[in-house]
Amino acid sequence: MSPDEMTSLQRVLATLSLKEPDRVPLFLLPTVQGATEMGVPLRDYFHTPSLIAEAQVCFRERYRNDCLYGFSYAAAEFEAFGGDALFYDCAPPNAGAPVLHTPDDFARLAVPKIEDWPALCRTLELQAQLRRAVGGDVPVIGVVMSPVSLPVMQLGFPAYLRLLMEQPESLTPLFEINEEFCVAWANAQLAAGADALVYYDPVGSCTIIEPAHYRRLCAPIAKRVLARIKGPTATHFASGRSFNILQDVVETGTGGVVVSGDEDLAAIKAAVGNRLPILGNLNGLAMRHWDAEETERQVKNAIAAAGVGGGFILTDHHGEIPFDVPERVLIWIAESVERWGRYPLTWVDAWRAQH
Amino acid sequence: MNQQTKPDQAKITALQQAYKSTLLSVDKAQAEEVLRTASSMFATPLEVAELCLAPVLEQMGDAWENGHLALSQIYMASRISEELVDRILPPLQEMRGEAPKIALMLLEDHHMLGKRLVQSALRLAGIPVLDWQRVTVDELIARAKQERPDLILISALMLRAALHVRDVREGLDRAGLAIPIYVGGAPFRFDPLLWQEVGASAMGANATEAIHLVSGFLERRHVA
Repeated sequence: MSPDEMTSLQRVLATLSLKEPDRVPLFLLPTVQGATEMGVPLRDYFHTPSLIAEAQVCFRERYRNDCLYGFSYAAAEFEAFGGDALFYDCAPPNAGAPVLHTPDDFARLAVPKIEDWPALCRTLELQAQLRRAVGGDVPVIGVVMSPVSLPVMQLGFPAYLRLLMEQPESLTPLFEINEEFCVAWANAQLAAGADALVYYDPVGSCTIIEPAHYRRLCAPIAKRVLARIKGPTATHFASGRSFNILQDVVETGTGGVVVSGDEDLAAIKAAVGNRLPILGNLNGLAMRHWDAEETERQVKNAIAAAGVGGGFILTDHHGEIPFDVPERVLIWIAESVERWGRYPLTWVDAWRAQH
Repeated sequence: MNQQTKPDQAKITALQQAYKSTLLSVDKAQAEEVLRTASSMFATPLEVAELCLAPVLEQMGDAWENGHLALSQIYMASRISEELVDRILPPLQEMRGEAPKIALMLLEDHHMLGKRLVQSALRLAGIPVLDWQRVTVDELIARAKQERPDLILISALMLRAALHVRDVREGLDRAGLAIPIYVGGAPFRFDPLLWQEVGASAMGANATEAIHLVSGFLERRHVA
């Protein structure tokens, strides 16, 4: 590391302050790949925080990653509501059958206690181990599902969408419980060792509901929740579109927004880049087919669109690198960021003129 | 239903625009009025489905894919249309007479929304579908051997399930069943090469694109 080289934390903090760091930070987020790295079945891997921590530290070194992902699997939150996580050999765990069926079921719900649920406790242990492993130089990132998006697992998407569109008032008790859980779960992660949280809200995206619906339902909840989370957050729409709600997203108090690969990164930078850090927007599924040239082109496109002036973190648009993405692609991404992400980005004007 | 010549394209387009507008404003009463007007304009209920309902749903699906509409709007359009069709038109599927067997299913997942939207779109287009619900690869192949559908429609939410379509294709081939497989779902939309990689015959980028794909299949069968 040269004397001018920032630590990952310094790089990320400069970016979040909308300043240019030494290079564009990279948040590369392999999860299930850790099981292969550690040579264990996925189920065992996700049940052993020390293995996840070890794999994440390996990935950080290999890919020059600027964060450690203190995340296990999304269905862990669903388990806290009595649901099952389904484990596979070569894919992230998925949520099992819904546990809520009608609004009558909401009356029987209570806010789960974090300490009662092994899956949540394992995630906290993971974050504590990551913190101990890297000290204060690398941000540890945690994840929470928004109170409005968790019902996709709790109720199943068809039943949830029906209530959301036809009996929205019936969902209020569920949202209230989810809101309390979300705040408690977020703050538990910050206490355990996470530095920042990703607030996953795919249902709030313009892909799923109309912008007016986001303003009416999701934005007020996000504003309340984010105000009670005792650390920085970034809002993630899990590859859903957000351009038409960006101004509202800014007003929720979030510390960043993760942009879909479906969207024009430059347009989003122009719209809110002076107020909100932007993360994105590599397409993880498409990565499966990238060669070295295409990888470099994708990285350059993203940096050229949103990197100038700082306030940009390169990452995938879904929050998880698919299992089938070859390791060489992740290495090419890291090499491309190292080559093309160094500030000042003197090559960008010529690149834009050509493309 | 009047026995009359087909209205000119300008009238059909105006009708489609009016119907789409009522759906987008979630105005069920107005949508019913437009649909009743459509019923009096076209010679058969199937024409109402094919020239009014299906094109509007397809336009809305395209608009969703391009970021101009939300999934919730597609969902509500389907709900309203299904309710009105049940009330106003006779059972459309029965009007097609003997139709190919088209089986629709979700592969190895618990999250049925995409499949339900496809099912609704095809129903509104008057295309009969066998609902195989949620199946594993082995269950799908066993059932295909037994029931011999002419076309298999698979909805997949996760990449893992989408990749298993390849196992379905290989299993069907081993059984000597040259049944085409059409696929849809998020993994196929974000990776446009995936459907070919897994041996599918076609891919729908959104639920209502299934109407176009399956209509094409039916036409080719008819010609053949």
